[in-house]
Amino acid sequence: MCHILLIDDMQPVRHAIAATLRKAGHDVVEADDGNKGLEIASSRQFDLVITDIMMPASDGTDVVFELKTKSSAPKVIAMSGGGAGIPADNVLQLSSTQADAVLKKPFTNDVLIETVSDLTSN
Amino acid sequence: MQGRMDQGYAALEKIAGTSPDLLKSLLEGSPDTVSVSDARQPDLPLTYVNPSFQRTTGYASEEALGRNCRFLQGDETSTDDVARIRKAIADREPIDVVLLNYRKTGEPFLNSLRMAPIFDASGDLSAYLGIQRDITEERIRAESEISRNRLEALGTASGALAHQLNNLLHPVTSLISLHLPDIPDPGIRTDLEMAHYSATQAAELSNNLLGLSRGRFEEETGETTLPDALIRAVDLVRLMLPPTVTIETGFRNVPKDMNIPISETMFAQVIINIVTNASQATKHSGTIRIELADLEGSKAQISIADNGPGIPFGLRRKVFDPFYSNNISKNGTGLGLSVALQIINKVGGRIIVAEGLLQPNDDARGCMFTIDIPTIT
Repeated sequence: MCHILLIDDMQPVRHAIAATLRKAGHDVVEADDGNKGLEIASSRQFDLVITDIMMPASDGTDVVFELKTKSSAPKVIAMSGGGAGIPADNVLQLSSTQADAVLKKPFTNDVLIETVSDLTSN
Repeated sequence: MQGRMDQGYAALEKIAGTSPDLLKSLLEGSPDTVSVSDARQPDLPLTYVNPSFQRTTGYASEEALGRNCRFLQGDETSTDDVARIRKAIADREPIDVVLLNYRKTGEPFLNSLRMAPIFDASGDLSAYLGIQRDITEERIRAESEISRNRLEALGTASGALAHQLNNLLHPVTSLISLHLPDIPDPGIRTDLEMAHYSATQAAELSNNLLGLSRGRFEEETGETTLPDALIRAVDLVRLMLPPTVTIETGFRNVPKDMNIPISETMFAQVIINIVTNASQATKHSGTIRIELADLEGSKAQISIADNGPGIPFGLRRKVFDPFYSNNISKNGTGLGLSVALQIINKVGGRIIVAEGLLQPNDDARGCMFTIDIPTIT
């Protein structure tokens, strides 16, 4: 069981990811934008933070970099489905230099669970 | 006005006096076709055509003089356009019209015609002056540009839509597959599996649209990877055609990454134009089979076969001629295949027409377009 912070502005997507993680036995805290996510992350210790990149109020890339500047930084997964005019690869490019893994949306539940367990197994 | 006219006449008188041949040379050397019809004789016979007339129409001046210029018209010339010319002549008004005319070889061309009644210095109608230009090439370029823009607009819109759809479909597939194993009733499980399958297919389609919409529109040249781009183009053309057409595909046994030197928009345009043409040939109710093959690692070969009425052997090259289509006005511009051939030729490829699928009554075959494009190694 891991303590996971999940940041995504799209509530149904966040709900589905959180449900998948919870069913796999993880403890999940949800945030609907990057600033709120960083606030929560500063008050508690998480094993893993999963953040969307393109969000209206804040950019997930900032979240990834901010988290990774800390000592005892949590593992970070950046995820994106890209935008209307930009592919997911481009959106994730910058984050991928700091994040421990990236997930391109849409991904299956199996891919999500596997990526999480790969990062948190040791 | 009268004063300016007098000045014009005066200037011409002067030219005629000092260099008498210049006026003739102006007409003979004009890059636009100039023709003169005698308004004083019945049925307005041509009394002069310049050399550009022969270059455009293929008729020598001795073949043209004495005839009314309607001999340039043919089967597909719009009767509306002809009626407009008649009315202008009856009203003694000038007219601008773009007319489908035919060269001596029978090849159709788009003739941009300006015609004006010419009154002599005393105000009597003496002649009709025709200024003409062959705008076929121009129109093909414009048509290609228009369909490119149309694809771009479609791409931008479908890209935005696809992005939203992806976000909405993720919870559907994710939550169904999450809870499916906990459903004990096999009947309900089967239903949910069907729902999951449909949502996955929808996500797949949406991803293909997204791929087509992204950043591939700016450049005329580019690189496209098969079979993925072909799958996307076929998905797109499926959306554009009536559901009564059956489109089958065979993309197995081909390498995963065949790169061809053409931008995806242009490539999609070629596929869309040829498949749309095939669909029209079957009156939107037949079968179209699209296959992809790898030719000795140096060429990608795409065949698009239909079970429509087919094209007689002698006419197979003709289908690429502009305005060849028998029903230009009803089913598009008559330029779809010309544009496709132009795009493919530009990248060193070719399109061949041959026999296609068996017709439903099994006694003859439809048509097959085979596109060969060199691959980039």
